[in-house]
Amino acid sequence: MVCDTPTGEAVRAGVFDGSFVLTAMATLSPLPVIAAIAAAIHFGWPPGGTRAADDEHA
Amino acid sequence: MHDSQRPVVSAGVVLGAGLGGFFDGILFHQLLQVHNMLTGRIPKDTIANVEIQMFWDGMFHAATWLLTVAGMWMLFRAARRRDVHATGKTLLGGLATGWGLFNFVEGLIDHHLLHLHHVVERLGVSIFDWAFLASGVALIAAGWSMIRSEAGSAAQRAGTR
Repeated sequence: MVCDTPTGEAVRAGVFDGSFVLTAMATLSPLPVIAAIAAAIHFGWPPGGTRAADDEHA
Repeated sequence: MHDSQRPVVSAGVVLGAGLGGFFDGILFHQLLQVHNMLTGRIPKDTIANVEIQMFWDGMFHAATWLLTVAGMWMLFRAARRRDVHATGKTLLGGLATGWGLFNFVEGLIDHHLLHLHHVVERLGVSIFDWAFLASGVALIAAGWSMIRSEAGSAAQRAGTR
Protein backbone atom coordinates (compact mmCIF):
# COMPACT_ATOMS: atom_id res chain seq x y z
CA MET A 1 0.00 0.00 0.00
CA VAL A 2 1.31 3.41 -0.95
CA CYS A 3 2.18 5.60 2.03
CA ASP A 4 -0.39 8.39 2.36
CA THR A 5 1.24 10.29 5.21
CA PRO A 6 2.47 13.86 4.67
CA THR A 7 6.02 12.47 4.42
CA GLY A 8 4.93 9.95 1.80
CA GLU A 9 3.24 12.66 -0.23
CA ALA A 10 6.35 14.84 0.04
CA VAL A 11 8.51 11.93 -1.20
CA ARG A 12 6.24 11.30 -4.19
CA ALA A 13 6.21 15.01 -5.00
CA GLY A 14 10.00 15.11 -4.73
CA VAL A 15 10.57 12.05 -6.91
CA PHE A 16 7.91 12.51 -9.57
CA ASP A 17 8.40 16.21 -10.12
CA GLY A 18 8.91 17.99 -13.42
CA SER A 19 12.53 16.87 -13.61
CA PHE A 20 11.92 13.13 -13.11
CA VAL A 21 12.97 12.14 -16.64
CA LEU A 22 16.06 14.35 -16.59
CA THR A 23 17.08 13.03 -13.16
CA ALA A 24 16.57 9.44 -14.32
CA MET A 25 18.69 10.09 -17.41
CA ALA A 26 21.42 11.65 -15.27
CA THR A 27 21.33 8.80 -12.76
CA LEU A 28 21.56 6.15 -15.47
CA SER A 29 23.94 8.05 -17.77
CA PRO A 30 27.06 5.92 -17.03
CA LEU A 31 25.19 2.79 -18.18
CA PRO A 32 25.14 3.45 -21.98
CA VAL A 33 28.79 4.55 -21.91
CA ILE A 34 29.85 1.30 -20.22
CA ALA A 35 27.62 -0.73 -22.55
CA ALA A 36 29.12 0.97 -25.62
CA ILE A 37 32.68 0.22 -24.47
CA ALA A 38 31.75 -3.41 -23.71
CA ALA A 39 30.17 -3.70 -27.18
CA ALA A 40 33.33 -2.28 -28.78
CA ILE A 41 35.39 -4.92 -26.96
CA HIS A 42 32.98 -7.71 -27.88
CA PHE A 43 32.58 -6.93 -31.57
CA GLY A 44 36.04 -5.49 -32.16
CA TRP A 45 37.07 -1.91 -32.80
CA PRO A 46 37.11 -0.47 -35.37
CA PRO A 47 34.15 -2.40 -36.83
CA GLY A 48 35.28 -4.84 -39.47
CA GLY A 49 38.90 -4.50 -38.45
CA THR A 50 38.99 -7.91 -36.83
CA ARG A 51 36.80 -10.98 -36.80
CA ALA A 52 33.62 -10.16 -34.93
CA ALA A 53 33.10 -12.16 -31.73
CA ASP A 54 29.54 -13.01 -32.58
CA ASP A 55 27.61 -16.19 -31.81
CA GLU A 56 29.80 -18.82 -33.36
CA HIS A 57 28.66 -21.73 -31.24
CA ALA A 58 30.64 -24.92 -31.55
CA MET B 1 43.93 -8.85 -27.07
CA HIS B 2 43.30 -11.87 -29.30
CA ASP B 3 39.88 -12.17 -30.94
CA SER B 4 39.24 -15.47 -29.14
CA GLN B 5 39.40 -13.62 -25.81
CA ARG B 6 36.80 -10.99 -26.71
CA PRO B 7 33.62 -12.80 -25.54
CA VAL B 8 35.11 -13.56 -22.10
CA VAL B 9 36.62 -10.09 -21.75
CA SER B 10 33.38 -8.32 -22.70
CA ALA B 11 31.41 -10.55 -20.30
CA GLY B 12 33.94 -9.83 -17.55
CA VAL B 13 33.78 -6.10 -18.24
CA VAL B 14 29.98 -5.98 -17.98
CA LEU B 15 29.94 -8.24 -14.91
CA GLY B 16 32.78 -6.28 -13.29
CA ALA B 17 31.01 -2.98 -13.90
CA GLY B 18 27.85 -4.34 -12.29
CA LEU B 19 29.69 -5.73 -9.26
CA GLY B 20 31.74 -2.52 -9.00
CA GLY B 21 28.49 -0.58 -8.91
CA PHE B 22 27.17 -2.79 -6.13
CA PHE B 23 30.44 -2.29 -4.22
CA ASP B 24 30.05 1.49 -4.53
CA GLY B 25 26.42 1.42 -3.44
CA ILE B 26 26.95 -0.94 -0.52
CA LEU B 27 30.14 0.71 0.80
CA PHE B 28 29.56 4.42 0.19
CA HIS B 29 25.76 4.73 0.14
CA GLN B 30 24.78 2.24 2.81
CA LEU B 31 27.65 1.31 5.15
CA LEU B 32 29.68 4.54 5.30
CA GLN B 33 26.76 6.78 4.23
CA VAL B 34 29.14 9.44 2.89
CA HIS B 35 26.89 10.14 -0.08
CA ASN B 36 23.74 9.04 -1.87
CA MET B 37 22.78 9.31 -5.51
CA LEU B 38 21.62 12.95 -5.46
CA THR B 39 23.28 14.43 -2.37
CA GLY B 40 24.99 17.01 -4.58
CA ARG B 41 21.56 18.40 -5.41
CA ILE B 42 19.21 17.44 -2.56
CA PRO B 43 20.40 17.78 1.07
CA LYS B 44 19.61 14.94 3.47
CA ASP B 45 17.97 17.30 5.93
CA THR B 46 14.47 15.83 6.19
CA ILE B 47 13.00 12.33 6.30
CA ALA B 48 11.32 13.01 2.95
CA ASN B 49 14.62 13.99 1.34
CA VAL B 50 16.35 10.90 2.76
CA GLU B 51 13.59 8.75 1.23
CA ILE B 52 13.96 10.56 -2.11
CA GLN B 53 17.67 9.69 -2.00
CA MET B 54 16.70 6.09 -1.25
CA PHE B 55 14.51 6.00 -4.36
CA TRP B 56 17.33 7.21 -6.62
CA ASP B 57 19.79 4.84 -4.93
CA GLY B 58 17.30 2.12 -5.88
CA MET B 59 17.36 3.26 -9.53
CA PHE B 60 21.15 3.13 -9.44
CA HIS B 61 21.13 -0.38 -7.95
CA ALA B 62 18.56 -1.51 -10.52
CA ALA B 63 21.02 -0.45 -13.24
CA THR B 64 23.92 -2.31 -11.61
CA TRP B 65 21.67 -5.37 -11.23
CA LEU B 66 20.91 -5.27 -14.97
CA LEU B 67 24.64 -5.03 -15.74
CA THR B 68 25.33 -8.01 -13.48
CA VAL B 69 22.61 -10.15 -15.06
CA ALA B 70 23.76 -9.18 -18.57
CA GLY B 71 27.36 -10.04 -17.66
CA MET B 72 26.39 -13.46 -16.30
CA TRP B 73 24.37 -14.19 -19.44
CA MET B 74 27.28 -13.15 -21.68
CA LEU B 75 29.68 -15.30 -19.63
CA PHE B 76 27.35 -18.31 -19.92
CA ARG B 77 27.21 -17.83 -23.71
CA ALA B 78 30.99 -17.46 -23.95
CA ALA B 79 31.59 -20.60 -21.84
CA ARG B 80 29.61 -22.70 -24.36
CA ARG B 81 31.85 -21.76 -27.28
CA ARG B 82 34.84 -23.90 -28.20
CA ASP B 83 36.50 -21.08 -30.14
CA VAL B 84 36.74 -18.88 -27.07
CA HIS B 85 39.91 -18.68 -25.00
CA ALA B 86 38.32 -18.86 -21.54
CA THR B 87 40.92 -18.72 -18.80
CA GLY B 88 40.62 -17.50 -15.25
CA LYS B 89 43.20 -14.80 -15.85
CA THR B 90 41.35 -13.45 -18.88
CA LEU B 91 38.10 -13.36 -16.91
CA LEU B 92 39.79 -11.75 -13.90
CA GLY B 93 41.31 -9.16 -16.23
CA GLY B 94 37.88 -8.43 -17.69
CA LEU B 95 36.34 -8.11 -14.22
CA ALA B 96 39.05 -5.69 -13.06
CA THR B 97 38.71 -3.68 -16.28
CA GLY B 98 34.94 -3.50 -15.82
CA TRP B 99 35.20 -2.40 -12.22
CA GLY B 100 37.75 0.24 -13.19
CA LEU B 101 35.58 1.35 -16.08
CA PHE B 102 32.66 1.80 -13.69
CA ASN B 103 34.74 3.88 -11.28
CA PHE B 104 36.16 6.06 -14.04
CA VAL B 105 32.96 6.61 -16.04
CA GLU B 106 30.68 7.03 -13.01
CA GLY B 107 33.23 9.24 -11.27
CA LEU B 108 33.76 11.42 -14.31
CA ILE B 109 30.06 11.85 -15.17
CA ASP B 110 28.38 11.87 -11.74
CA HIS B 111 31.10 13.42 -9.55
CA HIS B 112 32.89 15.85 -11.88
CA LEU B 113 30.53 16.74 -14.75
CA LEU B 114 26.97 16.55 -13.38
CA HIS B 115 27.85 16.90 -9.67
CA LEU B 116 25.04 14.52 -8.72
CA HIS B 117 27.13 13.52 -5.71
CA HIS B 118 30.72 13.37 -4.51
CA VAL B 119 32.56 10.60 -2.67
CA VAL B 120 32.44 12.52 0.64
CA GLU B 121 29.53 14.88 0.10
CA ARG B 122 30.33 17.31 2.92
CA LEU B 123 33.69 18.06 1.21
CA GLY B 124 32.30 18.57 -2.31
CA VAL B 125 34.81 17.75 -5.06
CA SER B 126 37.76 16.51 -3.01
CA ILE B 127 40.85 14.35 -3.11
CA PHE B 128 38.54 11.36 -2.65
CA ASP B 129 36.86 12.03 -6.00
CA TRP B 130 40.25 12.18 -7.72
CA ALA B 131 41.30 9.00 -5.89
CA PHE B 132 38.12 7.35 -7.12
CA LEU B 133 39.04 8.22 -10.73
CA ALA B 134 42.62 7.05 -10.13
CA SER B 135 41.36 3.74 -8.75
CA GLY B 136 39.44 3.33 -12.00
CA VAL B 137 42.54 3.95 -14.12
CA ALA B 138 44.61 1.58 -11.95
CA LEU B 139 42.02 -1.21 -12.18
CA ILE B 140 41.73 -0.79 -15.96
CA ALA B 141 45.53 -0.90 -16.33
CA ALA B 142 45.83 -3.98 -14.12
CA GLY B 143 42.94 -5.74 -15.85
CA TRP B 144 44.15 -4.93 -19.36
CA SER B 145 47.63 -6.14 -18.44
CA MET B 146 46.20 -9.50 -17.36
CA ILE B 147 44.19 -9.78 -20.58
CA ARG B 148 47.22 -8.95 -22.75
CA SER B 149 49.40 -11.46 -20.89
CA GLU B 150 47.00 -14.20 -22.04
CA ALA B 151 46.85 -13.02 -25.67
CA GLY B 152 49.91 -15.06 -26.68
CA SER B 153 48.55 -18.36 -25.42
CA ALA B 154 45.16 -17.50 -26.95
CA ALA B 155 46.78 -16.96 -30.35
CA GLN B 156 48.80 -20.17 -29.98
CA ARG B 157 45.70 -22.17 -29.07
CA ALA B 158 43.77 -20.67 -32.00
CA GLY B 159 46.63 -21.55 -34.32
CA THR B 160 46.73 -25.19 -33.29
CA ARG B 161 42.96 -25.69 -33.47
